[in-house]
Amino acid sequence: MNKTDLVVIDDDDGILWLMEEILIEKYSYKTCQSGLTGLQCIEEYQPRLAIIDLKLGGGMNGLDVAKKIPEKCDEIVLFF
Amino acid sequence: MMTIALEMQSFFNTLHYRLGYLLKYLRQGIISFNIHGEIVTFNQTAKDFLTSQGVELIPGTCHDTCSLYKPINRAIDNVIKNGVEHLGKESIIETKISKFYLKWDVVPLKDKNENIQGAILVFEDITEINKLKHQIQEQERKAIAGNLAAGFAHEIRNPLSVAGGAIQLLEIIDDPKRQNNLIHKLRGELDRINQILTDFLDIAKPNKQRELIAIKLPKIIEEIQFLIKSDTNLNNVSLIIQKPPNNFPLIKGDSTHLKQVFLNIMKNAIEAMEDGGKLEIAYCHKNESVSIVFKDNGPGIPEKHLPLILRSFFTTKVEGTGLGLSVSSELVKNMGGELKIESELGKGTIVRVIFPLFK
Repeated sequence: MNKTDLVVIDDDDGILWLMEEILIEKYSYKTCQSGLTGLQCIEEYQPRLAIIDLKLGGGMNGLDVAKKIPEKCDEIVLFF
Repeated sequence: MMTIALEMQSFFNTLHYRLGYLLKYLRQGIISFNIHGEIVTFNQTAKDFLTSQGVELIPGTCHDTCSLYKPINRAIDNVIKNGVEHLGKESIIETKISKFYLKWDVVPLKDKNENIQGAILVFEDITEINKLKHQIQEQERKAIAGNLAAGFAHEIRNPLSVAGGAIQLLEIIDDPKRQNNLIHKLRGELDRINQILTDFLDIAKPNKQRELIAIKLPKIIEEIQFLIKSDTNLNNVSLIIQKPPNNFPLIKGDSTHLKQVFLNIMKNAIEAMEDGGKLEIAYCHKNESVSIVFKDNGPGIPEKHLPLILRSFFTTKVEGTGLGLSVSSELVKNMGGELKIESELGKGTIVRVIFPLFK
């Protein structure tokens, strides 16, 4: 299985770009722009940490995502 | 015989006196003209108002001596000649002394055989009412701006975080290529903040009544979509904006007023969809008109509320003023357009704003 260190979910391009710039040298990561693709990504890559924006567009907010993934990654960070 | 004649005379005198009294205290000014367009009678209100504008009413003189406004004179001539009624006209009249809004009617004066005997001009000074209307429109605009300001803080914080992060990274990164990339991004994020603030100021700054100009509707929507983004996110509403057809025609309008109207419609739709939903915006061009359609799949509006929904002070919201839609409808009317609402309980609401083409 392709594991990754982190999954970052944010609907803001700028924030995703910044996270990539910060993470790129030391970690493996995946980025997603919606709660739905984020959940699929977490399912697939089983990250150690998920960083999720609270306000997400597209019908599912960060809390909804966080509630659905407790056993799939070690830790979740929600940011506001 | 004599007694009857005297009684009749006294009856007519009383009637005449009462009618005179009635006309004297009427809020509207009334002037009657004979078939030659000469002033016959007028009430006190007409006399007082015209005197205050420096015009003297003299019975027997032609109507153009008493009017301040050419279209009224033309209407009087037209009524006497063709018997066509001119009802509910509103005009802005500027004299050397002042500027005021007049609502006026010119109707034919007919005898019992329906022959035209002259014309009657009824007018009312609606300057104060118009001022109040404008004030209410301004209040509503401010309310929308205030409401947006609370919401879009988030939209500004994101690019600010990115810019702040980029600066922190610049301090620790040595690779010139990455540094360049960061500076480029930093500039982009600052532009983004600037754009959001510019769009916001467009709706927040006081609106002076201006001339209507040629407007691209899709551009107006483009300029407000970032302002509404935090509201859509908050209620889990997906905003779907249809690409406008090629060569979508221009309309005649005022961009601030259009933004005010569209934001109001969008906010209503988003607030109605508390548990999430879809708000679609589409453009339509049919013959001599264009429309922009806002379609939501919220709970819909009860049938009994539909006829009341554009009325001032009608609201079902706890903290609503009931002015949003009535003001929007008024603003659209001022641009020559029309606001129409269809709704079905359980299915959603469609708001159409229809405009004539710009010519």
